[in-house]
Order: sequence, then C-alpha cells, then structure tokens
Amino acid sequence: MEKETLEEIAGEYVLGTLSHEERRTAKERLKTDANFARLVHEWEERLNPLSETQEPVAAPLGIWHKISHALDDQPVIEPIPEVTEIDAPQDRVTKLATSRNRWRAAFVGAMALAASFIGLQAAGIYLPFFPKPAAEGRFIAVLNPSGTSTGFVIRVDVGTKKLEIQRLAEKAPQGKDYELWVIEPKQSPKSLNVVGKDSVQQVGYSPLTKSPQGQSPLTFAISLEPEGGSKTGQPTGPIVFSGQLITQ
Amino acid sequence: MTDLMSSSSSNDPLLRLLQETASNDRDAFRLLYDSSSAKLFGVILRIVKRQDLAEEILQETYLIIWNKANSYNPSLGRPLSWMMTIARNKALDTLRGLEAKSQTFEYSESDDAPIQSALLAIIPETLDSTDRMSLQNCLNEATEQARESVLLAYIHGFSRDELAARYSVPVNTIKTWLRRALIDLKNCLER
Repeated sequence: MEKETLEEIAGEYVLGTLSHEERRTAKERLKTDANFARLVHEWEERLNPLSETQEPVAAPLGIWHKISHALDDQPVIEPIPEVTEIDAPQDRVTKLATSRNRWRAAFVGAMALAASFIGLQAAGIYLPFFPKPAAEGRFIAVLNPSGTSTGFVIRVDVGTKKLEIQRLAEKAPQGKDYELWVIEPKQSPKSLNVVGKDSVQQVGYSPLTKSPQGQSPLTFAISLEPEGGSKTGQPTGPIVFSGQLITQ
Repeated sequence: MTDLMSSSSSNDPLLRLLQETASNDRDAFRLLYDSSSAKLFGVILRIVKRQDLAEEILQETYLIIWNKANSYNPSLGRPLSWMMTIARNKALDTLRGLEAKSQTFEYSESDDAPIQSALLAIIPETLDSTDRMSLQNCLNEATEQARESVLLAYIHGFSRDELAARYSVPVNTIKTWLRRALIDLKNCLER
C-alpha cells in the first residue's frame, strides 16, 4: 500500500469516517504495523485540539458508582488504611496513610541498597516500583488495619535475589497452609511457595526479570490453601493478606 | 478545565493523577474522573447522540483508562488528549458497529440546528494554544464544505453516508472530499 493511501486511511480512522469493517481492519493493522500506528498517532495529535474546544457535559452522578463497582470486581489489590512507620520517608508514608481502601493486612518490602539498584539498572532491568534508589540502608513499613494483627513482612533484596518473609500473624489453621503469591502488573498470580511454619523464611526470588510498562507496583498476596498449597497453580482459597512493594 | 487543557505536560495535574492511578490508587482515579469526565462525556455524547449509550461508553472508557494507566507515557500526548482519544475511539467503535447493524440514526434536517451552532462555536473560539491556533487557521483556509465535513465527522460522528445525505452527493464524493481535506490540512499544518 502506498504511503499516501496509508496516510489517508490513518486520517480517516482518526476522523472517524471509516466504516465498521474498515475500522476493524485498521485496528488490526494498528497492532502489527508500526508505521501505520505512527501515522494514526500523528493524526490524533493534529486533530485533538478539536476535542479540546468542545464544551464539557456533566456526566450523571451514578456513573462513578458503576465504575467503582466494576473495579471492585476486578482482581486488583488496593491501597491501605493505616501505617506504622518504622523508618520511611514522610511523603510516601503520607500517601499510603491517606489511601483508604480495603486492606486486611499488609507488608511492605524493604528494598535493596543503592548499589544493588544501580547494578540492576546497568543490567537493563527495570524496577518500576523503585522510582529512585534508596538513599541508604533499608526501610520498612508495616501496615495493618485498625484492630487487627499484623500479617507478614516481606523484604526483597535484589542483590542476593532473596525474598525474606516474616510471619507476624498466627500460624495457618490446622489442615491449611499459607501460600505466597507475586502478582506482576496485568499478570496472573505466581506462586512463590507455601509459607512454612517458621516465623522467618527465605525464598529465591529475582524481582521483575522482564520490564513491565509504566509504574505499577508489584503486589504480593497470601492465600489460605489446603495443606501443601494450591493444586491448580492459582490461588484457590481466600486472599488473607496482600500488599505492594515500595522502597525509599 | 481550561487550565487543565492548556497546561504543559510537566505541570499538568492530570499527569500526577494518571500516574497515581497507574499505581492502583483509587482515590487518585476518583479525582481523575472528577477532573475529566465532563470533558469526555461531552465528546462521547456528541458522537453517539444517545444518553444511555454515552453513559455506557463513559463507564467503559474509564475502565480502559484504569487498566491502561500504567501504559501511558507523555509521548502519547497530554493526559487529557490521551483519555479523549480512548473515549472517541470507544464512541466511534460503538457507533459504527450500530450502523453496521442498521441501528443508527440517519441524518435529518432537524439535526442541523444544534450542529450549526456547534460549528459556529468552534470557529471563533478564543485560542490559547499554538496547536489549536494552527488547526483553526488551516481549517479556515479549507473550503466551507471541507471544513464542515471534517468538523461534523470528528465532533459529531457523522459517517460518510450521513455526510453524503447532508450534501446530496454520492458517498464516493464524500470520501474524496474528506481525504483531500485531510491531506490539505496536513500540508497546511506542516507549512
């Protein structure tokens, strides 16, 4: 297809005048043809000012609640009610403290010395949950909702590729085991093994061997499984603890 | 809203909200919704012209924004532009899909009054951004029919068939107009 024709199709795609079928074809092409995607983006930039000149129209009040309920149905683990600070920068703690969704308990993993972080950057591994290297030392915050016991504390050390999990909660009930999961952005949970009966346990773990896009944090969760752990490779019991990895 | 639109990326309050949304921060997402939903709803409603559909599309749009927030980066445009593109695409997909099933609303003369006022509203807009000024100037250079066709399509979701009915010309003629208008616009903007 000649460049000019592709240019016209991209223009009409953004203008909105392609037919349903043409539009579908263009969408498919967007996924595989970087040149076409670039042309479409250029047209979006050219014509976007036309959207911006439009008068706003207030959306009906109930719509946010529908969106919010839809989000509740998504498997996303959310922020945090209360913070016990051990030694973390105030702005981050404040942000966590002001979030107020449903957590049952949480951990936050401390992170890596600056040297480890720099090493990873040099190796091209992206750590979106560490927007900047820790200034020095380790930091940790334990988060738990009011009136409940603390669950687990997780520390990740990218230098040694070790994850240390410390159980502060009660042991799993008879016939059950806790199982630790890591959830990378948009991925299914991956098991990091059953949590043993010891209060502190280490497992080998190399965080983010691939580079997720954006700044989504890494989420850890603990589910209550039959003894020996989930047989399906995915959590089968309730998620009893969850939290996200932060640093600083 | 004007402040939100005219601000540069670096100090755009929507940028921070979008970044926090990418970290699954529901409070930030709520603020993002509060700051942008009227703009997006206006864009969607003008295209699909049906309140119930527009409400559904708005919901879907924000769910997409929630799920895609971590893939946003400033090279994709300013946050509001990025979100409006998602909204427009969703609205156009829905509208063209309905047309394919013949459930759409054909152009009629009675549609013209609000559209004409909308067209008038665009042209004399007080312009505060270079991009908008350039686009405005280039649209003003186009023939009246070309300008109107582009605006009716982009803002009001007119299909080629609807434009053909409005101007009483064959659909292929509309296609030729639109493509010529777009290429003229591009050439003008690149001058």
